[in-house]
Amino acid sequence: MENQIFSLGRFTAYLKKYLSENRSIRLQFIILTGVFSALLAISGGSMNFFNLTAAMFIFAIVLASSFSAYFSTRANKIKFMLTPVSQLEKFLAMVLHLYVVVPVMFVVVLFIAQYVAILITALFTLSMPRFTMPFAGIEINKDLLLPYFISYFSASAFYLMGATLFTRHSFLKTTGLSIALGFITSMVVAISGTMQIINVAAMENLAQLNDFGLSHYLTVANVVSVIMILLFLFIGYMRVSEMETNETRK
Amino acid sequence: MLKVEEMAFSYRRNEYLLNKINFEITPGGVYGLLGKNGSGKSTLLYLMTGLMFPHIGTITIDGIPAGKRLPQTMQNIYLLPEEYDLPAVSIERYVKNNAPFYPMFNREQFDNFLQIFELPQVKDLSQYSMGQKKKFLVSFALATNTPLLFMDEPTNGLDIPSKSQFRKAIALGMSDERSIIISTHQVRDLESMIDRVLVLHDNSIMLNESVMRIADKMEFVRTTSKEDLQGCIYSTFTPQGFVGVRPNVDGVDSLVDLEVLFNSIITNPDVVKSLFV
Repeated sequence: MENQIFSLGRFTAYLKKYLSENRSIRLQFIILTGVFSALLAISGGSMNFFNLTAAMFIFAIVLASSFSAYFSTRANKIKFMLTPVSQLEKFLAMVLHLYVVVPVMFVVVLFIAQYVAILITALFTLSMPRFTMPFAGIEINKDLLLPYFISYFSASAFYLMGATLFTRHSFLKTTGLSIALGFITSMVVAISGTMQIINVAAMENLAQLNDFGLSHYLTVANVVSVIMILLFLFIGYMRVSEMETNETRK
Repeated sequence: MLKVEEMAFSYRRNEYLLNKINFEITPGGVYGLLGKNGSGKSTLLYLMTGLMFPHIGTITIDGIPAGKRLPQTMQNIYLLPEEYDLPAVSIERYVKNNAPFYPMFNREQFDNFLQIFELPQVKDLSQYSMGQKKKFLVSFALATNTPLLFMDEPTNGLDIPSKSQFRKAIALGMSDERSIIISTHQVRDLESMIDRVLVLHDNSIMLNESVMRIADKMEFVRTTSKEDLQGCIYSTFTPQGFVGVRPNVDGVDSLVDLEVLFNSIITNPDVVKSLFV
């Protein structure tokens, strides 16, 4: 008997269906290519990677929120819930879309956009196009790559979780929740930070904070972020698997 | 195949919409699930398909709780909901996307059902009208050949010719291994097709009997004279004359009138119940 939690054949069939039903991504692909081409052409072919990826960041969280469409009407919910694949496979398709399809699409968009920008520049300056190596004009600060990807994955996971919790106006509600949680977190961090300064000051060793502080906090923040990503995804998955057509109070 | 045992369900705390529900769906037959508006017909369908979870009791399909929504269970059931929509894809694409999940899907049958419903070939399913969308979904649902097929108010939104096409499609899509459970309040549309009647009333299954047994126990009267209605537990006047129902003490062979049956249950539940003890 086929595995009821995960089967590669079933998952592949579902992924095909999923991508086919989310065909609007092709249109988004064309729009993104156009926008980046224009930006690269205007900036003379050289741009900061993080400025460019800001668009991907926004695109990903909007896309993650748009998953709420699967649960926004009873008809959509029924269609989603009764598709004969496991709840894990359904959720995995969403995660794969956000974590693999979108970044890959983004790299491809940048690749194409760079050459389109060269052609646009050549057209406007009436000169021969000067083709360069792929991504030659994209400046990347490697030190910021890890925090960037962690924040990309955590934001996408948070908005994906939001899409399963708030089936209507998911983007706005999730943003509201993130602001509220951000406020609470900053309060906790501020209070704990103050407590630590008081403790260190009490030990009359303020220098210890500077030596120990930044790298220690960055490592802790990264670990906490990874745990949070897993937690958001887990909540989202649990919500999908426990969802009912008409939500009831038990 | 499908077993509902001591099942209770409520939307509000301690206010049961369905209470102490017990019945079984066995292979082969069209089940008519009847009930007043708000009696819980759709809720019962959602519970049977695992879209909602019973608060008390169990609902199992081949021994597995429906609420687990295992792929193995889901590929054996298909629900045609009252509210529906189709994606903006071609017929070909829709079949390619959805048929692989139903191992017994039959493309030839599907094309045949599309022909019965006289559905035009379109590039994009969203071009279909609401009625055509429903007919398309009925065709797909029947072609999946799932052992359990649930339909929630399937004739709503269908025009008169489509209703007879629907009956023809159901007759063709029926088999000994398959059960079709139809929830409806439009009993006239489906009267000739139903083999077994489930009546939901006062939060529970008031009647669960085959049409043959109902005809055996109850005599349905159609007359122009009021005097012929003697002994009826329910009767009413229609433009065609009087209709009524009474205990079939003389073994009279009569055609079951689902509307009259249903009204008799609503008005005299205890009397009707006592006939089937």
